[in-house]
Amino acid sequence: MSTTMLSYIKKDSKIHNLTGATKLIFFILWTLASMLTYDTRILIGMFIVSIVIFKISKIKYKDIAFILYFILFFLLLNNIAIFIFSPYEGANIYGSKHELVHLFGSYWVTSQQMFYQFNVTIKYFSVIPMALLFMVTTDPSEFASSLNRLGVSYRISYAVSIALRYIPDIQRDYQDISFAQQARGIDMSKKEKFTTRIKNSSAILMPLIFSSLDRIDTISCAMELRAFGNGKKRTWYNSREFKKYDYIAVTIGILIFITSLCMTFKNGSRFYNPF
Amino acid sequence: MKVKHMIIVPLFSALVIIGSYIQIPIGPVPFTLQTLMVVLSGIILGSKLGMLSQLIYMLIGLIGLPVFSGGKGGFSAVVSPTFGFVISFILIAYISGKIIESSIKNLKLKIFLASFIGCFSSYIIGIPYFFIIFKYILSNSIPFYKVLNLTFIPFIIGDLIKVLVATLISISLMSIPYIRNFTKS
Repeated sequence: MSTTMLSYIKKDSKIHNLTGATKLIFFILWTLASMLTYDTRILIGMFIVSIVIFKISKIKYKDIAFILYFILFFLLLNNIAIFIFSPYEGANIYGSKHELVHLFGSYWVTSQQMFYQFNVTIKYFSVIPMALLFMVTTDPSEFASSLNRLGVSYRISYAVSIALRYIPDIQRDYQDISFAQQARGIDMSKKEKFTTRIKNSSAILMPLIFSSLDRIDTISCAMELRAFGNGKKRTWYNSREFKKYDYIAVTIGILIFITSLCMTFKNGSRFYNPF
Repeated sequence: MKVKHMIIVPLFSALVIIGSYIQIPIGPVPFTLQTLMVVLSGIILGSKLGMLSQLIYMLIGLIGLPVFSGGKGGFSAVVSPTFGFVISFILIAYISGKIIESSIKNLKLKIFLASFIGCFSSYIIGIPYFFIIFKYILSNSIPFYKVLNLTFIPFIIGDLIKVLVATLISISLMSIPYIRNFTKS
C-alpha cells in the first residue's frame, strides 16, 4: 500500500455537520433502494444525486482516489465473471436476444447482456460515492455515540470506533515495518521465489502483530484509570443533537427509498425493459 | 467484558480490514491475508472474543464502510454471492478458538488443527450461500460444479499456504507466555 487508506477528513461542510446516526440511516435507505431495483432510470438518477452530495461535502477526488481504483478493479473482475459464467443472463431477463459480436465457442456479446451488466455497474456507481463519503465525513468518536443512541451497547459501539481508529495506525505500522525489512534485504516482489516470498511475509506480519499487541496494555490501563466501563451508561463528549438538516436528510432518504419502490414495482418487475 | 479485552477485540477487527489490502502477488487468484488474520483472531483471542471481533468487522462493513473484499460495504453486501464468506469469518474464529481451548496437549498440533479446520470451514457457509444467492436473488441457476469452480477449486492452494503461514506465525506467537495468557487474565 503506497497510498493512505480512507480515514476521517475534517472539514466544515453540511455533510460533516450531520450526525453519524443521520448518515447511517440515510446510507441504509440509499443502499436498500439501490439494491432492490434494476430500473436504469432510478439508478442513473441516484448516481447523479450522489455526485452532487459528494460535491457538497468538499471532499477532494484525490482523497479517495486510491480506494476508488481498488473498488473499480474488483468491479471489472465482477463483470468479467458475470459474463463468463452467465453470458445470456441479460437475454433471459429482457426476453430477446440481439447478437452483436462473436467472441469464441458459444460466447456471443448481446445487447441485452451489455444492458444487464451496465445496470449492475451503475448500481455500484450509485452506492460507491455514498459509502466513501460516509467514512471520510464521519468522526469515529461521534459515530460511536450515534451507534449508542441507536441502541447498541456503548461498549460495542466504542469497540467499533476503536477499530476505525486502529486502521490508519496499523497501516502506518505495516508500511514502516515493510520498509525497514526491505532495507534489510527482504524482497516481496516477483523477483524472489514464491516460497521465499511466503517466508518473507512472516517477517512483516510478526512485528506487525507484536506492535499491535504492544499497545493493548497501554490503552486498556489508560482507559481503566479513567474509569471507563464502570457504569451501565455513559455520556458522550462528541454527542451531537439532531438539527434541521438532519431531519431534512432523513426525509430525503425516505422519499428516495419510497420513490424507488414505487417506480420499480408498479411495472410488476424490478427490471426496466427497453427491448 | 474487561476493558483489556474490549481493546484487543477491535484490534483484530482492524487487522482483518488491513489484511484484505495486503496482497502477495502470486498467479491469477487474489491472495490476501484476510483469512489468515481471521484465523489468528480465533487462535489468540479464543472462541468468544474472536467471534466478537468478526462480528464487529461484519457490523462495520454492513453499516456501509467499504471494508469487505474489493472495497464493498453496506447492506447490499448481504445479497452479494460472496457475503457468505464474511459470515463464515465468525465461524472460522469460533472454531479456531474452540480447538485452541480444547484439552489437546501438543500445542503445535493444536495450532495446526485450528488453522486447517478453521480456514476450510469457511466453505461450509460460503459455498451454499453463494449458490442460494445466485439461484434466488440473481435469478441464475448455475450448476453446483460451477459454484465449486468459482469459490473453492482455485483457492485450495492459496488456503493451504495460509494455513501453513498461520500455523508458523501462531506457533511463534503462542510460545510466548504473555500472548498465550493474554485473554485469560
